[in-house]
Amino acid sequence: MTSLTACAAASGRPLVRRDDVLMILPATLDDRELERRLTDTRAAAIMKVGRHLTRLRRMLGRLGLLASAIYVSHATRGNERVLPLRSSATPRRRIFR
Amino acid sequence: MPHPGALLWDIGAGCGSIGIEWMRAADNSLAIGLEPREDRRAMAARNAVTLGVSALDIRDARAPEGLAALPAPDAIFFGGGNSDATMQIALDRLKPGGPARRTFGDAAERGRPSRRPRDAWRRACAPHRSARRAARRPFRLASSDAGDAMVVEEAVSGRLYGVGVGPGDPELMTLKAVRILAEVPVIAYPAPNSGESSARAIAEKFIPAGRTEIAVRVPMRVGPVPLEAYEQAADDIAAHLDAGRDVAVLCEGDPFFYGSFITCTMRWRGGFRQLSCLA
Repeated sequence: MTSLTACAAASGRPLVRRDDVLMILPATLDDRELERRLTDTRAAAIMKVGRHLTRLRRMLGRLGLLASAIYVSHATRGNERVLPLRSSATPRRRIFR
Repeated sequence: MPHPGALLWDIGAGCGSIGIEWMRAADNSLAIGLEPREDRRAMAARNAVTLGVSALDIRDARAPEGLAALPAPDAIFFGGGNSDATMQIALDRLKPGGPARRTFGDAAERGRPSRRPRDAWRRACAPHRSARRAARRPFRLASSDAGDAMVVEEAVSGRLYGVGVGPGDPELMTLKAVRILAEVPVIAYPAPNSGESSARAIAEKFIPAGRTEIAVRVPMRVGPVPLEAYEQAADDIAAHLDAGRDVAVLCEGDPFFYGSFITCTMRWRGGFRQLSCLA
């Protein structure tokens, strides 16, 4: 079982259904590549967020995707956190969708 | 009483329960919550995600200063501690007309904020709530007063589990899925019009004898979603939940990964305990 589907379960929202296309992106891609792909999909999961979280938060804001973005860390563990990405309580690391 | 697309101001949002209920009650409705306390904002944000309305807009602001920047609302909810002046400023921004104005206008005209927002909300939304009760029943929000921690608790109803049974080899089911199947009294799964359910076949040796099983016959074809079948299944499952019985809904693969059966049937947003199980 992958962390990707665990994050979807933790977030309480389907990752994809029906005709959705899912894009799985490593946060390590450069801005242009990430933006190009994010604007071309119905659903996206961003992995390997680490130190890129602030950059991603800004980028998703620019693309108008921040409101629906959910941040998940430590999925399925005791210290699991699930928050809207734009919440001020969201830490400065890691992201999902 | 929210209508699709309606905007609520929740002034003194606390745990977010009012705005969350608002957004769950009508499509595309939006709530903006003002909450100056950071811990409460964090709690509201968590609750919003848990309950499937992550677009809830919780802002770090006080009333009345924070109101000027907001778009005009269709309804306003005043949490505890708002002054008469604040209420007047807010009410002046309310869009004209509609049942929300009467409801919330009445609450404000009594000259004090409601001390028990849940009760006020229940009264305000009584007709609407009863109409949608079947669709929303598995969970309720509990908050005795504004600012309390909101507890997401099961109502008297049973729990609903979405259980992914993995790609096909039963050995690839998770231990958690197997445990749930051993515990729940009711198991539902999609099945073709004739023949065996593939999801059930994968999980078969973990389904104890004597369980209530609901085979939902879904026409497997290209085309529109077979809504009638899903709605009937949702009603059947809701009846078990209402009676306090836990229900597991099986899904091939992972429920949230193209698991149309579960996501279409279980249209309670955020209203069930997901388990996803995939190799």
